[in-house]
Amino acid sequence: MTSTSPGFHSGTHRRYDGRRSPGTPLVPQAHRKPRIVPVTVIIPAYNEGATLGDTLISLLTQTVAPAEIIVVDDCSTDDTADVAARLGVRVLRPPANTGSKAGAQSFALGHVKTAFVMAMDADTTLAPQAIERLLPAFDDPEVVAACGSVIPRRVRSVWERGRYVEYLFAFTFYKRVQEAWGAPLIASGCFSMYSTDALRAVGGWSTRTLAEDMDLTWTFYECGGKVRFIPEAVSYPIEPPDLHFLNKQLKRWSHGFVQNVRLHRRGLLEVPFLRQAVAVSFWDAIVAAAAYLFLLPILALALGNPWLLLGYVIDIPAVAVPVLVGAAERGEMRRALLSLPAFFLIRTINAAHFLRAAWLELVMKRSFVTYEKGH
Amino acid sequence: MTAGLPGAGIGGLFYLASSILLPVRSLWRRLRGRPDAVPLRQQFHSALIALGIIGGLWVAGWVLAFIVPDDMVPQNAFSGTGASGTAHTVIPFVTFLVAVGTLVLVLVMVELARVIQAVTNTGDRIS
Repeated sequence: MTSTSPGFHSGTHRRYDGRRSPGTPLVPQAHRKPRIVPVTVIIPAYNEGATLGDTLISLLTQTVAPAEIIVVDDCSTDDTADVAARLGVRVLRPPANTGSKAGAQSFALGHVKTAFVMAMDADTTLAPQAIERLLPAFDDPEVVAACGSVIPRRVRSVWERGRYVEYLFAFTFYKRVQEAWGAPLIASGCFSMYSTDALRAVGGWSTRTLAEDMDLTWTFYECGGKVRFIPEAVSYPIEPPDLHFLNKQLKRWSHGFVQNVRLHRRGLLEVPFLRQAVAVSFWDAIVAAAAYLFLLPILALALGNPWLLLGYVIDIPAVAVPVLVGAAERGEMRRALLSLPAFFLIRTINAAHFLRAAWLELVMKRSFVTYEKGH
Repeated sequence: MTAGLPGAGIGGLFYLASSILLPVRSLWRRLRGRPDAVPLRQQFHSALIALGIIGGLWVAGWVLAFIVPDDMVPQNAFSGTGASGTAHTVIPFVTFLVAVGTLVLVLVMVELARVIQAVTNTGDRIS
């Protein structure tokens, strides 16, 4: 991959220069006309009629206006296309269901005419300045991808609360450390921006793994591109509200992670910091997960010492400190404190999924290939 | 997606160390005339979070040593160490050492794999 893929240091992708681009303004003209920026937003959608409206409205009310918004209606059976058409955005419909988010996104890539492409999920909304804050990352011509913070839009069920804490933790601490070391682990698929030239150079979004965003991010690194994380650019996806959807999502993520480690293991070795971060995550996903799920209860039983089960929550401070710092920045201390216990539940389920995925993918050689929409 | 087990495992240690080293790395880069894309303020922010975590863990350890009954601390594993207070001290210390040792081992293995790959690639090119 490293030797045959194109590099990104030629500086051929156009920099964002702040000038207006030709195109039809998409934002309602009630007040000040927002500046149009050379960004095409691609939203893959399969039966997303219930959430797509909010997504599009959040795009149409950005402080800067994307030149074009494309909704890929992946042969939905609901009113997805109608919702998109009513809000005046372009709707593309492939001849048959593409079978994956990556397939739908790549279908639209050929229609992009701007210097930058933004990937966004149909159940995700953006903070009003999200695009304006993300775009300057591309002032550096070596940057090929940029992503922002992700915070669950709804925090009601125990699963959503667990995810809320997980994201606050990750985006307040881990991701900022990765950014400072020059290697954010993933440009999240629910809200990321790419240089169109770089994206086309690597063949767009690939369907070879179930985590197309991780695959794309690591491919960019292997080709010498830079990826940035801009914490101030915030998106709000809808996270799984119940265990059924959570399991679907975690199954996809855990298999996708293992598939990507297997696929990129050689290329990643050339990327400083990332190689260590991935190795440590992979170790934890397997060995720490096994210890977490089996060793602790077995030891507690064998030694007749229930106090050993405190091991499940012994790292509360390690989680709570970044989460509360992140919550304080957002003025959500009470919500974070109330949600903290749910994190430990969701982490246990996470551990089980990662362990199962590693077992099936690496030992049983049974790769999970069916893309199941989780949320 | 959050890979691994956030908070737990050697990942927690890895990010603690990485964040505490950030200001040092930044200073080193500045001395060599290579500016950071990330502002120094943000790097100190991460380092402060890491220090907060260490402080929090220390307090948690202290509280645990206080509330866990002495007869529940596995004394047999430390036969000869004598008082329960010693076991209270030894258990977290040994756990910490094992975690640091594991982290170092994983990082060394990664670097070793990189060197082997580089040597193999060079060999392939020569042949």
